Amino acid sequence: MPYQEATELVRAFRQGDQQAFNRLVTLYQRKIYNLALGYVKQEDEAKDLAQDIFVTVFRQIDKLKDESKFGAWLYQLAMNHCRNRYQKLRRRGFFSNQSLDDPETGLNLSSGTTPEKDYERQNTSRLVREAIASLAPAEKEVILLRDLQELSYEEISEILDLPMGTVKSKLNRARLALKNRLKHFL
Amino acid sequence: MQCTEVQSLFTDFADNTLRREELHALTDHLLGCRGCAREWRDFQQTLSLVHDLEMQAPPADLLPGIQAKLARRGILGRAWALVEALNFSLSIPTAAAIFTLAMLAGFLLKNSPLEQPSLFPSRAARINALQQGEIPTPRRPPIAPNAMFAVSHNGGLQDMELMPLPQAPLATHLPTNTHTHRLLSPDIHVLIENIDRESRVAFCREILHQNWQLHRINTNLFLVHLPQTDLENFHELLDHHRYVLVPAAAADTQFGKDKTILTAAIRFE
Repeated sequence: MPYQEATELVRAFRQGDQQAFNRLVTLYQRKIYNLALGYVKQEDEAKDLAQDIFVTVFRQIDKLKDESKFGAWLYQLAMNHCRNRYQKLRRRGFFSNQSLDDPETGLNLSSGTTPEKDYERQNTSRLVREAIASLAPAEKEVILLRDLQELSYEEISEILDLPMGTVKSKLNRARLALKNRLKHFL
Repeated sequence: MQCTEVQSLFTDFADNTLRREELHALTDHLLGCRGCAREWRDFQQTLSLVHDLEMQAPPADLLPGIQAKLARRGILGRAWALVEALNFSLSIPTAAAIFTLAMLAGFLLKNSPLEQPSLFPSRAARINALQQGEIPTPRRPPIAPNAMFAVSHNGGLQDMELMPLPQAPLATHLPTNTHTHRLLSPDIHVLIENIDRESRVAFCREILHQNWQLHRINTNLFLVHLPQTDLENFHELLDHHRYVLVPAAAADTQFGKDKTILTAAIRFE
């Protein structure tokens, strides 16, 4: 992530440049949308969640103390939104309606491979995403941040407000749990 | 080293961050314990599967949706701030009377011509309507649809100081100087309402800042030539104002894709 660019955009946005906010959204939308998708699994719900996250960024940007920490602040805010939405949807039975056969869990057609290979790859992708989604929330969070969002241990430590050693041990436990869920597939 | 201890070091092992003595103890154990060696292989395969997952592209309407939500919440937020600022206490009958009046006012506003949703819809709403196959038709087009304009090649940028003329005639304008002219029929017609003088000047400056060609037809009427690829920027500029767009399809950034340059006629009121 180009931190310098983000810092400059945040500064411009706080000075009233609305275009800077749009560029910030463009810069982070892929990561935030995928983070949301990792929680709620359903694309429309993930879009709505990602939009709410950026709306909160727009409204609460004055609460950001250090512009160079925008990335960590954004992720903290995003994680809070994701946790709340996840709880809300779970209470409504949203996830009980989704099964392993749900086609809306990360299937992407790509070119350059045979349909059989595409299907196999997508099936693998779907199973892995399902396995991640089935982890306990604390385990899922750390896997999403480290292995999908590719954040550093320092960044995760800052976002989750945990010592780095704790982050590493939680990540190890989460990966072992994921391995056990994928055992039949390995 | 015990088997449970070995597994607790897998992430550090994968990250290559183990101390030398830990590394030796771990590798010695894996060489001698088939169970842990299998667990380590499964752990590596799991990591490989997770790292192979591809991020999905966000939907194209993510940003327009954010802008639409911000526009909605802006109105509600201002209303709530006003209520909070009043900070008074009411008896139940008074509160009920105020509530009734507010509902009545809301009903009247909703049905007033100024607040017709089809007249000034948000851009997201315009795009959504297009995708649904609906073409919102404004009650009055900003400029006669077939209007032609004769434009001097030297542009019309000299006179940027806008003088308010209350009722400038809306008609084809033919410059009287001797420069060569070309006849243009705009691709897009825009009517911007309730815009003050300062905002007009700022709007025109922004157009020039974008390096689009600006022709001043009269005080209230301008032509803008912009690359089709800049249509998104043009919409973002318009989004700061209340405006009517004709044709409605011009809300889509793919509009006029077969042209390199689009011409927009903008009328201020």
